[in-house]
Amino acid sequence: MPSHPAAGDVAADQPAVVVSHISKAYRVWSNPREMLMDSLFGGKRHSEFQALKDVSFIVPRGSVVGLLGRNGAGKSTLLRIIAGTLDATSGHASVAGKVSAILELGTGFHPEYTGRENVFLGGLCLGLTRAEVEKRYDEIVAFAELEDFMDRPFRTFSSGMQARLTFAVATCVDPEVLILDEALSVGDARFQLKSFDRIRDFKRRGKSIILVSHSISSIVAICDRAILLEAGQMISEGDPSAVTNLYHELLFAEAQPKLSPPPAPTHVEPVGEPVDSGEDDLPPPEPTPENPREHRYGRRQIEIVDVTIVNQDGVPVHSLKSLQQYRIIYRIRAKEAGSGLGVGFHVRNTQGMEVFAWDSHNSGAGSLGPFAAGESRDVEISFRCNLNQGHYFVSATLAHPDQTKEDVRFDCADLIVDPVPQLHHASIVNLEVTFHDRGR
Amino acid sequence: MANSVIRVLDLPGHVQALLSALTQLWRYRTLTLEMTKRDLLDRYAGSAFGAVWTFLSPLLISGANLLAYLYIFRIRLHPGDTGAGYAAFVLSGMAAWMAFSDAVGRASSVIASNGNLVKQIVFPSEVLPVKLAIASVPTLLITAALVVGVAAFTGNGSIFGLLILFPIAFVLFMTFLTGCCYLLAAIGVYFRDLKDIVGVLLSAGLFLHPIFYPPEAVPPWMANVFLASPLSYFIWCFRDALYYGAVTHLWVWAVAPVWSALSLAIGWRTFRALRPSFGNVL
Repeated sequence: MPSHPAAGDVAADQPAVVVSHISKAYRVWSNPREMLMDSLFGGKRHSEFQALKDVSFIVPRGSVVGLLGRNGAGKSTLLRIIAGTLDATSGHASVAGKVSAILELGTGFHPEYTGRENVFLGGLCLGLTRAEVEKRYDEIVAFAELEDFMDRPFRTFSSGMQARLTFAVATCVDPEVLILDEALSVGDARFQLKSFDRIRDFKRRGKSIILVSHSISSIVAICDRAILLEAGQMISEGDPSAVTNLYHELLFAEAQPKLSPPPAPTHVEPVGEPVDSGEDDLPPPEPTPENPREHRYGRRQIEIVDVTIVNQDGVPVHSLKSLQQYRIIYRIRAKEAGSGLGVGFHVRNTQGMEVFAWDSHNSGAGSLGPFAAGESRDVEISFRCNLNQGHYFVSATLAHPDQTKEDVRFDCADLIVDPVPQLHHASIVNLEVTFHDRGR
Repeated sequence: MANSVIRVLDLPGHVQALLSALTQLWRYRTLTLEMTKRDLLDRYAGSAFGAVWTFLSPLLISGANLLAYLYIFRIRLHPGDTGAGYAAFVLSGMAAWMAFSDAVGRASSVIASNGNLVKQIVFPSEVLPVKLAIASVPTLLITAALVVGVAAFTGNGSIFGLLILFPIAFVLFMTFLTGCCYLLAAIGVYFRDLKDIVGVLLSAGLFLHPIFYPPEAVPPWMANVFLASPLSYFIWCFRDALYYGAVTHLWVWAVAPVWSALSLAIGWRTFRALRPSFGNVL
């Protein structure tokens, strides 16, 4: 049981968290009487709900692991088992060192107590002594930026303020392992930045963090590794940008039958099939070399067969010059008729950070004209390359207005921008600066 | 069933449980005291006198009892007793009873009512039942102080009883009470009806324990009922300490520590065994 072993007894090479073969089945009784009968006499008056199935992973010291998954995938159950507030049906989780957790926002704090009382109570709950809380009190309040509110009842705080105070208290105890369930999604942008900084600082000091977030960008930005859960099973683990691609697919790939495009024939193709079959059974000659980074999903009854970037003169280019005008051409081929489709154009950097995202529906540019079955044509998007030098990836999407994806091709084309001597190396964008010294 | 009998008699396990209980409780002492303080303050939050009620309430209840035995009920322990002797006799038992029913009455729902703490954060839920036991201490001490006053007036009690026997009885009783709270708190999570069952038992229990009955007036069957309830031994201990001021039955003082240790060991082990799955039902 991971209660609070004394901190500092952790060997440096030992992983901070080892989760081995954890399964969790919730027993669901239709009423409490049957639960009592079961516990007294044994038997099976309950139904079981399998929340986790054989989940194993390791969190090395000094690393940040992001947990992704749809609602009900088992993320919170897993965190609670690691934190020790819930038992596993089989398997076990071992945590080296002190754990601090925010498992649900603002809770754990008493709504009627003042902010000040909650800080003390929270600190004591996390294993600090009164003197230690007193010593850190000012820092906690300063971090949460709630100096003027600490004598008000906690329930009068806004949810963002509650989140800030909870985060400040949970991180002040300097745990070896910090568990955050959605703790970063509340709070304004400024506080999110501060929280990220604190997490990075934790990491630098060799602490480990496990966090759940629905924000793909924050997972990509701060995690070393990501784990994707679906229906209680770990379906992917590894590089955050690869795992978030898969997560994206999980979220949007399933086309609800009722949402199929109006002119489409009534016989419904098995939706998952084209996704699973991958690229192998698609013979079209693809002029651009296959990008190993590419991740593709969608119905693909109408698909983007090719993505090319051309210059002003219509000549395909390998590398782009900053501030020049270019066009990106999607060659779209329709196996079946469809209308109302929109295209999207995203640019991400090598870390997976989305630098630019645009789609024709949201931008008000409207939809593409209808496609007849068997038709093939090009769609052009003009853009000015306001990027600084570097390697970027283009993602091209083709979707119905209801978000049903026809074809999503993450990182399907390279976008390499030549060095811009005028700019610092680390900048991402080129803001086309002009300079005047009015006194000169 | 046989299994659980074996576990009740598992002595080495009990000793281990007692040690682990004591170390854990010591470790979380600050938190426990803070939670107790909150508990006492919260109970009277919003009332004009606030925390003063913590002391006022047992004082008034015991005072009302005292007046009733002096002027309403005509029960006398011996010729020459004005009623004050009987009042001291009853109140010495009532002290333990009031503390017991205060803590035990709330124990079965303490985990559920602090569900947010138990479920959401890494919180040592072991402090919750203890906080109930400690929160009953003011009631116990104030009633005891009243008994000491009345007993001094009637010529009962002794310095020996107050300084030696009372601290021993107090420690034994608190240990016993903590164990009861652990047991009820753990089972109450799964069996919510326990709160109501305990409530009924507590109202009936007042008359099934050696509180009101002068020693000569106890019917034989009732004497057996007394012996069957562990709480009786602590009531007798407190009565020895506060009213008689001497050890009247040595065997009572020998049995009470056994109940204390057994209660804490079983309560702690039950709690620790069930605690990991609290999250399933909260």
